[in-house]
Amino acid sequence: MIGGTDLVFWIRDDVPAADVILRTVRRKWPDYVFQDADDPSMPSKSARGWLPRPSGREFFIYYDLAAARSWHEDGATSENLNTMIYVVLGNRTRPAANLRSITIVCGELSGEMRALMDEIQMSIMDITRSMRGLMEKDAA
Amino acid sequence: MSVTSIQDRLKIAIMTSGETWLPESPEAVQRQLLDQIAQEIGAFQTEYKKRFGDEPDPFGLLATDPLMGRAFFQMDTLRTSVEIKIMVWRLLLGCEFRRIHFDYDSDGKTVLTFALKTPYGEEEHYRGEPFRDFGVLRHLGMYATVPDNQFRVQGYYAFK
Repeated sequence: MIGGTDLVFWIRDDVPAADVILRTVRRKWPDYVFQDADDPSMPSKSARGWLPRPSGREFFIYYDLAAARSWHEDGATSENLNTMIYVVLGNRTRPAANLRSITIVCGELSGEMRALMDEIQMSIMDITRSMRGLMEKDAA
Repeated sequence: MSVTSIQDRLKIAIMTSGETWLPESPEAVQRQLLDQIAQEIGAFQTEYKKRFGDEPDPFGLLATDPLMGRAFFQMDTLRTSVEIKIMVWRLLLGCEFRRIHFDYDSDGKTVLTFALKTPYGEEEHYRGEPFRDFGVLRHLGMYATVPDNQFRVQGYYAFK
């Protein structure tokens, strides 16, 4: 674990959360760096370009290349704490309700990091609401 | 690959995407529909490769990222023109909407146009054909930004 704040929320298991999270972070952090959690190598470039597709359920997103380097070399420090988020998709499920968990670990939940987390939650909630609305319409 | 196996593959992909009505249709109707869709996907792949150099693989996307791949195999997408299929694929890759214009006129022409921004900052333009392309509007992700509460359209998703 990296320390900091754990945010856990539950979403429908068919919501493409990785895509929503990556697009939202990209808008706030245009020079972001993506890293699959099972990839131990040092990220060498910004993810600018087509959206990465995570190879598994866990991944890191860094503010930029300098932040990625800092985390790799020094781990969590007071300077870099709010320059990375760690995302875990669906490590827990509630099958009866078709729900899976999303855990996002970040530094201090204040300022820009708070806005980023709020926007991620808002965008996932809005897309879930759209999906539910259409399902209800189809069932009518 | 034989015609039958393409159709079988397509049928599975469509059902996986949530279109569960397909096996309930008469066999002959299914065959005709699947044949038409297969041809249109082929035309989309050919045109995409001509414009951008690489051939899209919707079946591969469905296998590696089912939640995103499903969006391509829902009927709202499959029924679209080649032009709009290309736009959908660009969105799935990571483009964002810059502008959407939908002008409806009950006595005149109805127009749907999109401007996308690529991750490299270029702008691409797409024009939808009336009726067949308008179903894509059901698949756009919409949300409000924080903290400025600005309405945004983002991404293309399987909403079923």
